[in-house]
Amino acid sequence: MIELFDYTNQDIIRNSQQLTDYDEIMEVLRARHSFVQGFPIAGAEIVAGTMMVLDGQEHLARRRLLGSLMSDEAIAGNRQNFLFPVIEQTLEQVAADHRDTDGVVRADLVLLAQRFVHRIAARLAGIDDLEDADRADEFIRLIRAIAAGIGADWSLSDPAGDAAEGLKALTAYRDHFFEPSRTRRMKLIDAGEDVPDDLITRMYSKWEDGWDAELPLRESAVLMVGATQTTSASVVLFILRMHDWLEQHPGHAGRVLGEPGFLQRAVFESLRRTVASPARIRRAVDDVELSTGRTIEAGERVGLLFLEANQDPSRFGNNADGFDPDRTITEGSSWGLAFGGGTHACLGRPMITGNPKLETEGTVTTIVRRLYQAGIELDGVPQRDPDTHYPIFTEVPVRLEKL
Amino acid sequence: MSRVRVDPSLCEGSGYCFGLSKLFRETPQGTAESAITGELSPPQEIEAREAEDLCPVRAISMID
Repeated sequence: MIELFDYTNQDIIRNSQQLTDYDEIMEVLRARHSFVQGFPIAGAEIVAGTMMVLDGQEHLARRRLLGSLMSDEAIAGNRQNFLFPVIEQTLEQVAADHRDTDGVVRADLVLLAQRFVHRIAARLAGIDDLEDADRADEFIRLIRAIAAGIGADWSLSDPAGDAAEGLKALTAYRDHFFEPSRTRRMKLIDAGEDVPDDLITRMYSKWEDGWDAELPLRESAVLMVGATQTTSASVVLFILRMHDWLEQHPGHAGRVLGEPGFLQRAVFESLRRTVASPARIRRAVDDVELSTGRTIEAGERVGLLFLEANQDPSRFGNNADGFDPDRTITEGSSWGLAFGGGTHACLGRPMITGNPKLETEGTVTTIVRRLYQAGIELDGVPQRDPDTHYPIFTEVPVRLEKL
Repeated sequence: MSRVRVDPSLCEGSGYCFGLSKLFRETPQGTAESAITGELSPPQEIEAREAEDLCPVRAISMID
């Protein structure tokens, strides 16, 4: 129930040479001179000119402008100033609004995860005023529609309709959220006052002549989509996977909060099976021969099937298609290709995973730890979204027994 | 004074470091390695720290 629907019959995949071998995929991702972003993308208008579709020096320049929002120092500040307060504020709202007559707080984990993650990501993008729950939920609805527009090529329902709805949502996002936040920052910049360090501030402070007027709008929307959709789904999927695993492994529940390192390892294991996109598409600009002997002609598209690669037994061991929080691997990251790799590796990965060298915890681990501390238990049947290949749920009823 | 190193077991070849600084170079496998083994000058240290911040897999380390 919590895996991807079959997606390999989609045109976007069938028209590409499919790669499932982990090392071959990494070789393509690293070959920045031979491959460029290659998806046809129905939602191209939404992402035009953003970091998501840039290559080469333009991509590097944008990455330099925005990448240090994810420096270790910035992340440490974000955790103290945004992450922890947002988690507590969101739980307080849920406790106030959803406590039943028996004294137990019952809520929808999907909505809860989305509020956590969207409020945190909005601080990075530079979107203000999401404290009100209704306003936060409207913001979440728009970002989800924009995400569906960007990912319309993967839609199981109406790709053209999803792309059109995405554009409409981008306009509403601009009018109700982006523009008020932008105006506030422009006034601060003009007055020479301190401004929050976020995407909007950086782009307007270091404006480049070649940019069109709405590029920061689209870049902020793409950042919001990239930072929220997979991350909020990761929180939900982790709770569901751990629930199933604990049912199959009675007696291990105490490890979740009691065993140092267990939760972080378990989250990484879940991330391995939570890819942001069923496949990444790259287009060869030259004739290429990979080290395995596979040949790819100039102009040909390759579909990089991350989930298959992340289930390679030679790298991840036996039962690599299952969830095993005690899995150990000998090479590479335990989350595999969940964040992509090469030039277009996920910008937010250091915040999601933490920095193992500094022993800092990632965002998903921090959120689910707090949910377990709040006594989270499933309280009904999870409802899956039927309109997407992604294992996304529309509703997951939970109890928060210690809130 | 600091030195800089790239952990080959972590590097996944984003290419940002050698795209922005000659302190790093690309290996035949598309990953990065340090192009300088000695101590860094103050301007080099600024470049190396930007590369360290930009690296998505935290493969770059400054050694004081």
